[in-house]
Amino acid sequence: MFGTIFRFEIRYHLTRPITWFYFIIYFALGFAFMASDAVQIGGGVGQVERNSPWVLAQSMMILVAVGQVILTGLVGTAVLRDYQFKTHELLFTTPITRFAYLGGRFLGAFVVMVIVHLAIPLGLLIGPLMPWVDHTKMLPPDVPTTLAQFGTLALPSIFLLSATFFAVGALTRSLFAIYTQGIALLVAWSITVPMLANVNNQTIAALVDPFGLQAFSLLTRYWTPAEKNTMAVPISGVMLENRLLWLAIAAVIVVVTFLAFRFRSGPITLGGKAAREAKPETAPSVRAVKVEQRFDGRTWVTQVASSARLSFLNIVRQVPFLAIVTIGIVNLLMSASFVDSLYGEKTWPVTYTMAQVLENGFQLFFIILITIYAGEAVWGERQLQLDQVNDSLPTRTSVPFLGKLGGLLMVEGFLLVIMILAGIAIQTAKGYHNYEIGLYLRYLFGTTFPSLAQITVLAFLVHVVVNQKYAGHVIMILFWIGRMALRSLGVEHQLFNYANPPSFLYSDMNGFGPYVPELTLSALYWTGVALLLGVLAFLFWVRGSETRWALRGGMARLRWGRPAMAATAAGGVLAFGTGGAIFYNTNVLNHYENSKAARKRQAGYERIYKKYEKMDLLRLVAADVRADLAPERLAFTASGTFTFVNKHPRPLDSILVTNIHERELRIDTLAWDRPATAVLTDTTVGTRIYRFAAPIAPGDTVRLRYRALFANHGFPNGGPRTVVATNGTFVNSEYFPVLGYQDGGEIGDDDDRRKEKLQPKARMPSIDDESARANSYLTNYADMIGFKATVSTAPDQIAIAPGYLVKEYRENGRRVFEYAMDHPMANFYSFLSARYLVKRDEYHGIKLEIYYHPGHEYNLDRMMASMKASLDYFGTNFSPYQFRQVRILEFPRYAQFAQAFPNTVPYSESLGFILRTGDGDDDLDLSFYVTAHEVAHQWWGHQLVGANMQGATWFSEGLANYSALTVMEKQSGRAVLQKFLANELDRYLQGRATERKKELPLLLVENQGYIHYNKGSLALYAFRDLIGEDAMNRALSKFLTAKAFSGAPYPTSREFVTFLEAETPDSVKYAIDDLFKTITLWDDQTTEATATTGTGGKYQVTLKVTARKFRADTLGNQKEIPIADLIDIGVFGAREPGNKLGKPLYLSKVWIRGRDTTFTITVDQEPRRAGIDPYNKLIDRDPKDNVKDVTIIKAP
Amino acid sequence: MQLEIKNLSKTYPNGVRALNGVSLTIGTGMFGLLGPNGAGKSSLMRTISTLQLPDSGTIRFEDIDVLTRPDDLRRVLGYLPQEFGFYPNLSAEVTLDHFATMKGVVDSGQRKALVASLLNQTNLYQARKKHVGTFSGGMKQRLGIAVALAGSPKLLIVDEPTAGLDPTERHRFLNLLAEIGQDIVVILSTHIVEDVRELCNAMAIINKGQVVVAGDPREIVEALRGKLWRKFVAKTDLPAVKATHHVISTTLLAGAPVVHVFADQNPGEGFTPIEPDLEDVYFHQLELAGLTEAA
Repeated sequence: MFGTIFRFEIRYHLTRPITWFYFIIYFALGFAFMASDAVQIGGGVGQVERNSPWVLAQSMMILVAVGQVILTGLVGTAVLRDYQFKTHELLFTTPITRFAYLGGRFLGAFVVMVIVHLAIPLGLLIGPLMPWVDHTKMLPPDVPTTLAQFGTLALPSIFLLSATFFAVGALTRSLFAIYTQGIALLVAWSITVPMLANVNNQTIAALVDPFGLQAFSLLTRYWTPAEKNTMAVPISGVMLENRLLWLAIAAVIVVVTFLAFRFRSGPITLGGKAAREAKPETAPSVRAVKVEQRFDGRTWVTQVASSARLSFLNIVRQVPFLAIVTIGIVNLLMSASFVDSLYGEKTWPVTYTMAQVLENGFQLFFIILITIYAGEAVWGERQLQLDQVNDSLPTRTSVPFLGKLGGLLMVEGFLLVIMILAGIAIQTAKGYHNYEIGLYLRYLFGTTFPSLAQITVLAFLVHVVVNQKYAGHVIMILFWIGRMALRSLGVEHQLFNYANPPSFLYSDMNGFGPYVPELTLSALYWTGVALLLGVLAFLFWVRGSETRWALRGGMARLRWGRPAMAATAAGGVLAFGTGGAIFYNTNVLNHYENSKAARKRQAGYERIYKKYEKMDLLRLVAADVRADLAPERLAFTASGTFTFVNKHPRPLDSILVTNIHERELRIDTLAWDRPATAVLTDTTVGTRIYRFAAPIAPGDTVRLRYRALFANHGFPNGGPRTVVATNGTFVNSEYFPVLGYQDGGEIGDDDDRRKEKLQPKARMPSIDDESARANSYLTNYADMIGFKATVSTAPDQIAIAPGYLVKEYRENGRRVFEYAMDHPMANFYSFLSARYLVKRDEYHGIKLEIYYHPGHEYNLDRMMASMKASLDYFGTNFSPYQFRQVRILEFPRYAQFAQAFPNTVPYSESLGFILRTGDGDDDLDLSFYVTAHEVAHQWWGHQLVGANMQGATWFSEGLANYSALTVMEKQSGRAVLQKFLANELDRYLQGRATERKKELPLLLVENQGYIHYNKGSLALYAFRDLIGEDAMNRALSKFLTAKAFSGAPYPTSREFVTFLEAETPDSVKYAIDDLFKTITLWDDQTTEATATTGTGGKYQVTLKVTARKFRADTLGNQKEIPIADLIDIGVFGAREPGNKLGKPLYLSKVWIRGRDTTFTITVDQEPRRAGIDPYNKLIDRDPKDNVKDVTIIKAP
Repeated sequence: MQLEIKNLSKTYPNGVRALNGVSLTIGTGMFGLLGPNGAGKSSLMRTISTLQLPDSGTIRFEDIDVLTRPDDLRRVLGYLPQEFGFYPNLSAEVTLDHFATMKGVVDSGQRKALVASLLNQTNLYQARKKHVGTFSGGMKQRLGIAVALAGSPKLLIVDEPTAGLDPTERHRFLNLLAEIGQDIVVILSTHIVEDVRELCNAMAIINKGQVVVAGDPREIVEALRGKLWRKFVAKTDLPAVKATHHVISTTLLAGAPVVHVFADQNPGEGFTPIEPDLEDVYFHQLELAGLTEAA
């Protein structure tokens, strides 16, 4: 019996087209992920091969987790089918056993699930074989490994899914439950992601993820490209636990289903009492109340409203709806309580952040709700068999249509209101009380709601037209996928991305600012289109039992009356009017270019002009610039006179000038002070070559006058330019001409380069390229320059440029500021203007100023304190500060960085100004830290700047980080630093795991953030720990004395190392190799920590540790090398506030020679924890096993 | 008040000929529409109720041409289909209020009174706040009739309303119909002969999409007077009886088979005359169409 049912089940599915449809979809997804760029399912970057075992494992797991949403029906209906076809009564009265019936059905369905899912590895294996595939990015398909990973990673999930779907189907026998459970599962699953953000929950998240993806990422997050290319994901540790746990849960589900299932007709219900009938009263009265029936316009309005209300109530009272929304809100609360954190630190939950978090956090739920409930709305009455009653009512067809649409829109609006309340609740809970209700409303109802409404209309249309509920859902899911895929298909114009409002950034300083016109037009445009779609949906709305197209067409013609015409006309006018306006903005006022065209243009620049890279250039010695800012008009004029000298020993007859932003500018003056002709002018890439009538003799001075206008003409497709803002302008020197070929204009990404048939690009010149020392890495045509700047701006704004304020006055109703630098500075300047408030202070004659946005006072004192502490430490230990002033300038969050210009630090409003530093002992004060980092750049970058070659950013960014952490350590103590370094370690390890080209040691770093910032902090700190702070400061100070303001040849990282070596005792010189010259990792572990009580209350601790040391190559292949290092060994007592390790009872640097070492240490107090490298100073991929709790063994 | 149906024909895309030249004239009072499953009753009902269009023919109710002006008919129509459900998580009161609005009762005071009276009339007043999902079959059926009655229809169409009701429920329901059906046109579709006998002053039997007989039930029954005979037969003799006589039904009486036969004169052989009733008419008509096995 079992066998028959089992075989029947398989045969049933295999003969159904839908099964093969799923199979083909899965195959196509796997295949296309490998064989095309259009589909991305996870995937690696850079040096990770496209079909590496790691990538394949990840894509299989993602597809299983996400794809299940459409597969729920496959297993779920195994039992329901018998009820649908009403065969259950026949079947259940046969002598079939429950085991044979359920077992056969379940196993049959499970086998079919496996067959369908096998399409994924099949596609992944066949895709790479295609002839058009770039085989340099592919490994030969590895069938055994792929199938083994499918078996270990995907199969348990498939079993779990089958069990769950089967259980839900068999026990509820509700189609709705069956089709929505996949979505519910997906939603529940997505909750584990924010949980991972909380570092302490990583292991829990890895365990509770039913699909194992969290375990996968936890296990492999530090994997280097080499490891991703060669290693299969091991079934061990948390991955093994996860798979076993969920297999066990699946087994329990199956068993419970078998036990709970009964051969009876009704589904299992939970509670729910049947309504008790009232006792019949006496004879019912026939006298119907006399009522007036009216069928006019007012009735229509009342009816639409009543329908909408009914739809609304009907949806919000459904258990699945409440379940989805509850999960959504929980998810929202969880993500919202994490997202105010930055670098592990808290920011103030300002309203725009909340609104953004709310919107992002609920996006998935809106997608789900619209997809499901549009279908439910269109199908609702037919499912209830209420359609005949409803359709024969004396209402216009527009009543049910508009009523249902309105009901769903009301649900969406209702949810947005709930979200706002949730946002306010979170703000309150976090102690933030500046609720900007208006901003919430504008954000969520101004941008989110129109888009939801437009998509809802589309979903209605889809369901009405296909008139097949399940197919409607599939089409809607394809719509969502298509919307995401549009970009990779090269369709980037907003006019084609249905109901997708352009992205925007709200800024406290500048509000919705320049985005308002684009957002408004886009909302109106898609509303117009939605109106047209809505009319279509109305015309073909199914009323009555006729579904033949011929008849529906006939009905549509009957409905094509005045209201439909009017709506069509309105929609048409709106869509064409605003669409035209958008097109005019993006394609007429601005040049439209998709990213492929932009890439081609970029490639063209390199192909044509790379040959001029080595062309001799004049050298800039002075810049006298002027920026006339018109924030009111979002325009500015950049002008100035640049003074150049020919520093070459030979005459120069021509010069190449580049205007990086030429396409945004109208250049009206570019004039040399002597006869010169433009022999080449290429405005598409801003390149000009001038030939001087008489060559410039060595030592001669030449001047260039420049004037250009920048104006925002409407908006381009990618969004408006924010360089000049109504409040918060930030114009940098890129709007002024530079000399020579700019290799920054080349395509950086090697994958993109390959598409353009360009050779892979070296990120920086080699450290062995002596000629590269002619320039610093900041600029290719200047050393230190003389600088004067004039900035004019709106009368209510303050404008700032580097230099000291010489004069401020009014002229033609503008406020004008003149700045001048009194000694040469880097060729690196900017102009900022906003309605600022200013906080001032002074440190030993150095003026300290913070220009900030009113309301952003939170961290001004911390920034001020940081400036003082930094100037103090750096001035005392490194070299004197070269300026008389430090200014911090807030700018809108269109960019999210802080950047050090001479005596001037523009600082994004989102970074530091709204940071919230708690009072905990190990709370990192990030605004203090970032300020210190930028002040440190006045030394590392502005006093001493490296040659344009490998290693240069190590001693600018790396030293800025090191200097800042030193100041922070003095200020906040060891525990804070501990937390900071733990973050740096995590970021470094994740950074190298996603390296696109090659990892390099600090000595050769090629402007790689995770190396110069994160490893820079770790390595320089560990190094100082070995040689001591004084020695370190001596080295840095001598380095500055020798190389500050050096000019060409610019210093190199090798020179920096010689200064470090000079202060390093021979015994620890090995560390210079380990930390700076190579990629070295340690794997330290405490395997045993026991203690016995000795005499006099002393404890004898026995500590067994292993220590291993590895060298990695640029791809992350590592091999073990002998260890002979000085490493911390510590024993710790009871925990103290802010010190999780506990009070050190013993702490000493010990020479570790060899893998296993045993220590016996006597301490005075009860030891709690002990271990090797307890402070995680060394780079260790598993830092948590360094310390172990001490087991106390009672003396016999 | 009169509903006139002329030459209504409808063939479904799958080739099923649901209606084949149906013509009926129906006046006020209860009109019974009898026919076996698949005879075309529901197709006819749906067509009258504006839910589907015939391939040919006309329907006229008073001065309304139903096929070209469906909206006008809907204003005077109450329709209770054979199978229907309601929004399970809304109460009877909310449901009824909504449908009253849909029927054009927009004055909220009037509507409230109407809803209350309908709930009273259908004996649902005390359960009015309960979610409809918790209702029993009879309660749901009565709510259905309340919906159909909202807005005082002039044409009430009820399709198989008593199927699945227990005898008490059925009785109560039919009483309700009888009360309402006095001044308006009520079409009661059923395959339960008793319903028609008890309630209707006019009827039609349709089969295979055609009207096989129509008129006053009493007259139709009368036409069979003196032509029906019955006899107890042994099971083994049944085939022989069927072969030689015009058997219209075979029933069991206390376990013994009884055959009813149609014959102009007493066939003798122990047959005794019987009073014709509607059931015999029904079986006779179906038998004429060659549809019935001995039931």
